[in-house]
Amino acid sequence: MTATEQYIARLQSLKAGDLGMVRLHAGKTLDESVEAFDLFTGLWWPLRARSQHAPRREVAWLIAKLYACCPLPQAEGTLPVLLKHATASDACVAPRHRRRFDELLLLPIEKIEPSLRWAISLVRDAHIGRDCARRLVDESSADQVRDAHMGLEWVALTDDLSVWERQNTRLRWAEEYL
Amino acid sequence: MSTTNAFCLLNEPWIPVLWTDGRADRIGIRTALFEGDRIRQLAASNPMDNVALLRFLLAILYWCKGPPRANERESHRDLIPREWFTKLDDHCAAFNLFGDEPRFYQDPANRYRTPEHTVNYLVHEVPSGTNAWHFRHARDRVDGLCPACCALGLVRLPAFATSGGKGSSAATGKSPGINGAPPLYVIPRASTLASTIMLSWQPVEGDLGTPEWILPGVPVPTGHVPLLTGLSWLPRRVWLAEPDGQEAPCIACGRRERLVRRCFFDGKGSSKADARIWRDVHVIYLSGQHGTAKPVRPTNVDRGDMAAEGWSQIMTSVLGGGPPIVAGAQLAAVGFSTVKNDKYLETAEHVIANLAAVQSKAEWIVALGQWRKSANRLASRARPRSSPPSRKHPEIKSAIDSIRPECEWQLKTSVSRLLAADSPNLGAAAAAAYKSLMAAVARTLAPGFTTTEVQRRRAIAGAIPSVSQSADATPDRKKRSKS
Repeated sequence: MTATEQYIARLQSLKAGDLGMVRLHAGKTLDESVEAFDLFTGLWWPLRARSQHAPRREVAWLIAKLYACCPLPQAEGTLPVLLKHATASDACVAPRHRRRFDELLLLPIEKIEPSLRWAISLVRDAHIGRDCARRLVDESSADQVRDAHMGLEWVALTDDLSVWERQNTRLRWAEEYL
Repeated sequence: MSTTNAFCLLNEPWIPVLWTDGRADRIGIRTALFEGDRIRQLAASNPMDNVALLRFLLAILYWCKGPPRANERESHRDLIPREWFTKLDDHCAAFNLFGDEPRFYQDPANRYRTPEHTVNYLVHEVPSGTNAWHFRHARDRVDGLCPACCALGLVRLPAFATSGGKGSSAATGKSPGINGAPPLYVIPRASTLASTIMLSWQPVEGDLGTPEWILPGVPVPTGHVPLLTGLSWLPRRVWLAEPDGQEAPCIACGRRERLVRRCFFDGKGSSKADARIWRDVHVIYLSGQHGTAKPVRPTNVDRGDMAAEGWSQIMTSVLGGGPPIVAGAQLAAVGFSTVKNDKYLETAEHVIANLAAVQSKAEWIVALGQWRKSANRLASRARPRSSPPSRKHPEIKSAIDSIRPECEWQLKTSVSRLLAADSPNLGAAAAAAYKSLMAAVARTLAPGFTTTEVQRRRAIAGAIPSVSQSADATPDRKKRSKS
């Protein structure tokens, strides 16, 4: 198991309370909360101590916040592909979503969190329907999410964000979306 | 050089050739004709000289032997008999370059005129007069030509002299050669020089006329022009000064010899080429208005892509009206590519092989025409679909013009194989020639990584020219702008 896979596995093992606490820090840096810092350190530092290939701190924290907002299970399906399928059915909004996806591709890693949160939410909504989306945070809906066979390739997302500054990474996202 | 300094072209080495054993050499006229079966080809560095020399040797054959009789071409296809050229011995003096008259291709009427002009006028690629912006530089009346290059320059005049402006008097304007502005010369070529000459040795009826090396100073011809007059008529009156001084590098070939630096160089008066009745054996004629026949000329290459598509235009002309081809022979098409109304001239040579295999000439002509049309629309097909019609997008045409010469060269190479199979299926060859470079153009014109840029890049890379009329149709711009 790679360091990234181990990290995602640890994220998925977090309890609802911890997830909720991370979710409260959406859009914030690690320095802004001692509790969040302690939680993240316990999550990430053991991996980093064992392997230099663990995701770097900023990316790991970003993934943690995104997962906390939309705890989709680890499954096949990269974000661009799932996003494309999520938007393809509605011809009216597809152009608007595509423009927003292009804007996402142009963002640096420091400013990408809101756009990624939008994209993952869209994927989640497309799978379970908008009526279920507001109950996703409820623990009882986790089974419903799993039963819906939906998920996201979090490992690939983490690895891609780790090299987000490379043009090839974003080019591949654009090609997968098309 | 002979002791009399006459430089007789029959024996002195001046014709550049390549022997069949791979040696490069210079030879005289007799060697070229008597040993033509051991000579691979004429090997001047300028294609114009190869054409001019072949026409000159052909003219000698017609002058010495006359037109071929029944089966003579087939029975002597590989070797021209020496006994046909006894006339050369009787007129040896006519081929002297220097000394007393007669002189080869020089007008004795100008013998006592002051040689006030630079001899560099004889060679197009040596700049002279006010042509100061060439990459190479030559000094008039200081740099000169060796006798061999003088002879080559004189032999070049009948076929490739261009209109040269006014002469020393109102009556001596410098007219172009027998065909007017030099047309495209199409020469059938075989595996040896002798066979190549025989391919052009065609039956001719009527009086052959007198070549200019026997009757110098022929004025501007009008009316019916006999064959030998037409092949050898000089549009200039030339008298070379004697080689002088010590040996120095020839400005044309670089060999160290005693050079000719000056000459008398004048015109014979201006005239219209269409006042003559003359059909050149190496020119393709197209039907024009009012039943006239116009020679095919290389096109103006002011546009960046004209040079790229020149090969297909020439091939179309050759397929439509070129000389008959025997199996194993090639066609060499040589002519000027002109820029800005003859202000700049480039010599282009296109060699077309495997034409003997082609039966479906009409299909080939149609396919080549469709190809040119499609290739010229490449820039419009690469435009963004959402771009308003008022935007010119000069960057698209510029990028495509930069790759077209390479792509067209690759396609031309593939076409040679298609000609051998008589299969005018240019589509696959065109796609292969354009694919990789259109992808590079696409990355240049759409360098970003958003989905919009990727989609545009795919559209540009996929805009390969085709020979299918339906695939090349562009939507009506008016309808597109309204939607």
